[in-house]
Formats: sequence, C-alpha cells, structure tokens
Amino acid sequence: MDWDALRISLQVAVTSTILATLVGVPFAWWLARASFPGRGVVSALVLAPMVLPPTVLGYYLLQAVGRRSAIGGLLDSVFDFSFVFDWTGAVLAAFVVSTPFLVRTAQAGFESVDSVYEEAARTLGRSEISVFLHVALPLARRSVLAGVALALARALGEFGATLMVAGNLPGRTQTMSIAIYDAMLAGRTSDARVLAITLTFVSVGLLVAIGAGASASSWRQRS
Amino acid sequence: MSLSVDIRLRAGGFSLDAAFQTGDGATAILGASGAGKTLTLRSIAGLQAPVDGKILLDGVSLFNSTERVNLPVRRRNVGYLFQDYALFPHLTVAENIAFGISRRTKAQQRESVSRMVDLLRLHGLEERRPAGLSGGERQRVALGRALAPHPDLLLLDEPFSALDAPSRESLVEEFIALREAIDVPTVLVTHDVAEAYALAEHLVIMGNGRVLQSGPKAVVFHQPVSPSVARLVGVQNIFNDVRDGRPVVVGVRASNMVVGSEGEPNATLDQTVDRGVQLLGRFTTDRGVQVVAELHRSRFADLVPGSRRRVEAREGTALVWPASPGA
Amino acid sequence: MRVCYLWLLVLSLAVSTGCANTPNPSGITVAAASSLQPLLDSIRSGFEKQTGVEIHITYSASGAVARQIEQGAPIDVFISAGDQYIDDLAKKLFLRQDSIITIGHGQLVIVRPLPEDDVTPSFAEAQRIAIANPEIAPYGTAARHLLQSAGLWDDIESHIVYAQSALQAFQFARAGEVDYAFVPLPLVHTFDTAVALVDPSALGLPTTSVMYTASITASTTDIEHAQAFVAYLSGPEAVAKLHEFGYNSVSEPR
Repeated sequence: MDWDALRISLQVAVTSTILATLVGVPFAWWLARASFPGRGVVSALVLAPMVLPPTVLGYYLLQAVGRRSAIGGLLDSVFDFSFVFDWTGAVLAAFVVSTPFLVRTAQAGFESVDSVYEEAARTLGRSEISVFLHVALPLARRSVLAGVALALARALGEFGATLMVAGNLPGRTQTMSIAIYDAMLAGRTSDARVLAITLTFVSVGLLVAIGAGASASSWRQRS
Repeated sequence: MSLSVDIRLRAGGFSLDAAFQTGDGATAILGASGAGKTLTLRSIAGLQAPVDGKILLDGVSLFNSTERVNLPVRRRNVGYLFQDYALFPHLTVAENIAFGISRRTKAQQRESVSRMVDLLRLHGLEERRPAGLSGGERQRVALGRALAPHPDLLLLDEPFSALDAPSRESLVEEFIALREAIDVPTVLVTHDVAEAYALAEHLVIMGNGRVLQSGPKAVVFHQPVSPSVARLVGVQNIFNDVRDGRPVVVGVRASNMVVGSEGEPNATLDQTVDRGVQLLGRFTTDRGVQVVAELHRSRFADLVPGSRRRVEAREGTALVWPASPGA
Repeated sequence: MRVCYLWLLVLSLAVSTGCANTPNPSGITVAAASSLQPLLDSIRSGFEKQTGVEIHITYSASGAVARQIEQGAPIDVFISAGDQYIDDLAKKLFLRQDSIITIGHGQLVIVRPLPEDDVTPSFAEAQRIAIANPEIAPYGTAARHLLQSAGLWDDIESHIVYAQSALQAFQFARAGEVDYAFVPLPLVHTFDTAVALVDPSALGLPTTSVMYTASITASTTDIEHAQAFVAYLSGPEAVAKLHEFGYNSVSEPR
C-alpha cells in the first residue's frame, strides 16, 4: 500500500485552502462592506462555481489553462509549465471549487458584525489593512474559520474537475478520491476500502481539529 | 480653534444642507431626532462624504468638493465618541484605550493609558473586557480611547443619552472638569437643551437637515430667531397673538410666566405637573390658550385644579416673531 | 375486506413483475473497448435495419467493462481489446465460453499533436507521453510492454501520463496536452486532424497489434439477438468496415 495519494491529497487540499483563505477572506470583507451597482453580479459570479457540476468546471478550466489556450500556451512557451497533468492543476481545480464556500460563509460573518467598530478604528488612525486584521477579522473569526473548514473539506473531496485538469497520475496528481475510483476501476477492492477509510478519518479529523481550535479561541476570548 | 462647515449631503432620502462656524470652546449641535445632527458629525469625521461643500478645521481643508479634497478618516486626527461607544468587544480596556496610539513605543503607550485611567477614574478595570463594564464605565473608556491620540477635534454623538439620570448628572460634571485637564476643541450632538447649555459655549440649532440658528449660547438661548428654534431651546409656551393689528407668534419660557393672586384672574389651572426638580402648572387662559408656568413650591402648595389666577409674561421677556404660514 | 383484496392484487403484481425474466423490450446492450467506437458506430445501423433489433453501445477501457460485468451490470455482449479480460471472466463463469471469438486486430501506433510552431521535442526530450492505463486498458499494457522490451521504459517512465482509456490517450494528443501518445491506429484514421503519425522504427520500436475479442455474457436475457450481433461482427459488411477504418481483419497477418 503506497501512501502517495494521501500525501498528494493533503498537499493539494492544504495549498488550495491557504490560497483560498488569502484571496477569499479579504474579498469576502470587501463584498460585505462595498456598495456599488454591480455588487450583486460580482457576488453571483464568485458563487457560480458552487452550483456548477465539477465536470463543467473541469471543462471550463481546461479551456482556460489547457496547452492550446491563451494562458496555457503562454505558460508553456515562456515557463515550460502547464497546469494540466501537474499537481498545481489539482490545486487550481480545488481552489476554484472551494473558494466560493469560503467567501459565502466569511461574507455572512462580516455582514453580521456592526460596521461601527470598523468606523471607530478608522477614526483612531488605523489603515484599511489594520482595520481588517485587527477589527473585522477577529470579530468575524468564527464564521471565517467555518468557511476555511468548509473549503478544506471541499478541496479534500474534489474529484471531477481535478481528474479532468490534473489527470490520474499515481505519485504525482492521484489524490485519495481519484485513487479510490482508480482502485475500484481496476478491481482492487481491498485497496479501495483502505483508502476510503483513511480518507474518512483524515477528513473528519481535520474538521474536528478546526472546530476545536475555533471554540478554544472563543472560550479564551470570553474569559 | 475654528471649525467651518458648509455641506450638502443626501442619505437614504434625507437631504442635509448645513452651514455653520464655531470658535474656541465647545459647540453643541442641538435638534430633534432626525434633524441631521449625527449625519453632520459623521461628515466632519469623514465617515460620510458630502456631495458638495467644504469643511475646514483651523484653516486645513478636511473636505472640499471643488478642489476634490476628501481627507480619509484616519488622517483627520478627529476623535469620535459613538452613541453606543463602539468599544472593541475582543479587547481589554487598556487595549481599547491604546488602540489609536499603536505607533508609539510600548513605554509611551503604557504612560498614555495610565494617564487616561487616572483622569477618567478607571483604576482596576484595565484588564476587563467591555462586556464586564457598566454604562458609565464604558463611556469613560470610550472617551479615553478617543482622547489618547491627542486629537485636534473631539466629536461626541449623544454622549449621555444612553445613561440613566444619576450617571448623567455626575458625568456632565466630570466632563466639564475633564475639559479643563484636556483642552481639546469639542463638538457634541444632543437633543437635550440643558446638557447643551451646560457643556458648550456655542449652540448650533438644526431642524430638518438645516441649520436654523448658530451662535454663542446666551444669544441663541435668549434670542431664538424663530418659533422652531425657540421650542428646541426650551421655550415651552408658543402661541399666536395679534400685536398692532398684525398676526404674530409669541414665545415665553415657563420660568418667565408670572402667576399671581393679585389682579384680574385670566386663567384657570388644569393640572400641576410635579417633576421633582420643577413644579409646573398648566393653565388655560380665558382666551383659550394653553400655557405652562413654573411655580415656586412654597407659594403654591395650595393650588388645585380649577383655581383662577392671573398669568402673564414677565415684563420684557416675551419673544415675538412675525407670523408666517407654517412657522 | 375489499381493500384487503386490492392490496393483495397490487402486491402480487409487483412481485411478479420483479420475478419475470422478460427480455429487454428495447434491444441488446453492447459494452466495447473505447477504440472500437469508429467501427461499431458505423455498423450499428446496418445491423439494426437487417434484424430490427436496437443496440445500445457503451465504450470504456476494457478493464472497466470487465469490472462492471463482474458487478452484475446488464450487458449482453462484451467486445474487449486483448483477450485477458475475456479469459478471466470466462473462468469466473461470467461469460459463455462457447461464444468467444476474435473479430479483428488494431495496430498500436505513436502520434504527436500537429505543432503550432516548428518545435517538436524529440521522443527522448518529451515532457509528456500518454498511454492508456495498463491496469485497465490492453493498449496501455501493449505500449508499456513495447517500451520495456526496447529498454526505453525506465528513462521515460516519469514522463508517462496515464489515460483512462485508449480513446482518452488519443484525445490528449488531439488537444495538444501531451507530446506523444500511444494509440490504436483506427482512431487516427477516424479523427485524423490535429495529429501526425510517428514512425515507430525511428525510435527503435517494432510494430505490434492488439486483438479484439467478443463474447456473450452469462447473464444475457436475449441470447438470440446477442448471437446474431456477434455473428454480424464476422460477416461481410462488418469486415468491409474493418478495413475502411484501419483495423485488420482476423485473417490478416499482424
């Protein structure tokens, strides 16, 4: 039993979740506070990947970064790099499917915090980044963490889009989900069972850890 | 200090058109709810951007629509006390107070916090969170937080309205004492004329999004330019009359209504209203006008509804304005 | 009392429908190796007109079909690349031993995407070489075997990209996502745009073919029509199509 798939799954899911957090949380704050005519449209576009089937997303991703696309061709000729058949493609697929969950949850969290605290911080001379880091984020902490947990779970479980973009390359892009599918296809049912049980424990364990971290920090805050 | 405001703003169907100037000392913006006082205050702080106009503090443009100047909030160095204080719930009292002075050294921060704690009597509360404080304590912490960065201007939005009467009393006195220790130009918004008078040297009266009158408090208080302003500065009796054949509106403070037993009675008492600090009598004059007069407790203990007395304004205290439709 | 009889009637109807061994009213189901798509898609209408029997065809890697048959999928005819899956399933009694026949061969060739510019990496420098997944696709097994015998496998193994089927390996080449792909020749003849054939001897590789084996499943509910279809595959119309699409017929040398 070789555990490359576990390593790859964790690598991909953690990387994509970190990216989703760095991009998604500030964006969620901006969406929560901004008021301009196109806001609803932007919001809908960001959340669109949530309602699209993973294979549809995989298709669009291939159109966007495949070797024959504008972006893909550029990356290939200048950097000799392609997302397709590479673990970064798996990260890209996981990022696209999981970020909307993070944004939606975090945005709701920011919206539920009175903006007067942010106004107070501004009157006290703080920059926008400081207002975000020291006021908005701590006060919406629980929702943000919930969003991160959701994104991580979604990334760990990603299958359809990942398979289409990153392919099924054992040791390189074969995640746990794909490995289970692969084992079933090849009739290696005991391998499939071991992988499935492992993925279950890993997923549940990670989420419990994040949940415990969230309630511990709010307990500390209350005392 | 000199603050010059001349702005127009639209917010959710409400339109504001306010212009006033103030000098040294504190200024109170007085008006009924919805008059636009908070909106004006927020515009001075930069939390709201007017559509057009200018705001100058000591000659420095905070906002100027024609020159496209709109100094961001954080650069205005204006302290703001929010109506519900907006203390950061996740920080301690000390951390709240130090929030605006984070660029100073740790030693300087500690010193500033300690100074505020002394001035505002917050000893022993430094490590508490806002949830564990009383209303009055929270208000003092909010003051400390706003003052620690040495602001050029201090803005207070209904600073005492969230407090019960005894807290309010003591805090008004404290506040006056505080201003002697920390000399910062202040603008406060209130709907309570007594508070405005006690705390400020200048009054700006607002109604319906407009400035109705502004000037030194004695002038505004005793010479309101219109019945609306008069009502806002506490003139309880406003009624129509005819002088020299012309229709006028007359205003008389309850404290300037003299109730006497001598002379021809001209009014009947409807009821007395005892507010503890003040005893008032509501009368209906023979001409059908309802007036309120302040009564001295010792002389009028026997007054019962139905009693007839002579009620008239003290010589020279009646305010008269020409009658106009909708005054 | 009468309601009770009604329920009994409903129940017995339900049970009898479940137990009945009625033939699939709408024809037979054929599961075939992905590389047979050009052939089977072209002969199906001929068969349907001739016999009046509708055929439903699904294509995937031969190994994937074998798994489905083992799990009881309602398939009547299995046409596999290679013969190892057929032999395996016959031993396990999932297929009717007496129905197994070879119907043709497909040559394994190497293709590369038609370049947009002049630069094509040599085989040794190729970043990505696609073969079908050997675990489930006989063309992949054949490709790997070829490369191992020529002593090239160890060097290029890290550049190998596994496709889910022979057809998908070909699609990777068409889309330009890989530099080279090992695919069945009939697919090239069908979709000949966007790829170019590479002479295997230039890489020191011999040519090789993979046979196609057809069989009827043990669980079929329409043996008569299944047999008719398998027979049709060896008939003159089918053999003519074989040649047209670049397959080799049974009698031809490999």
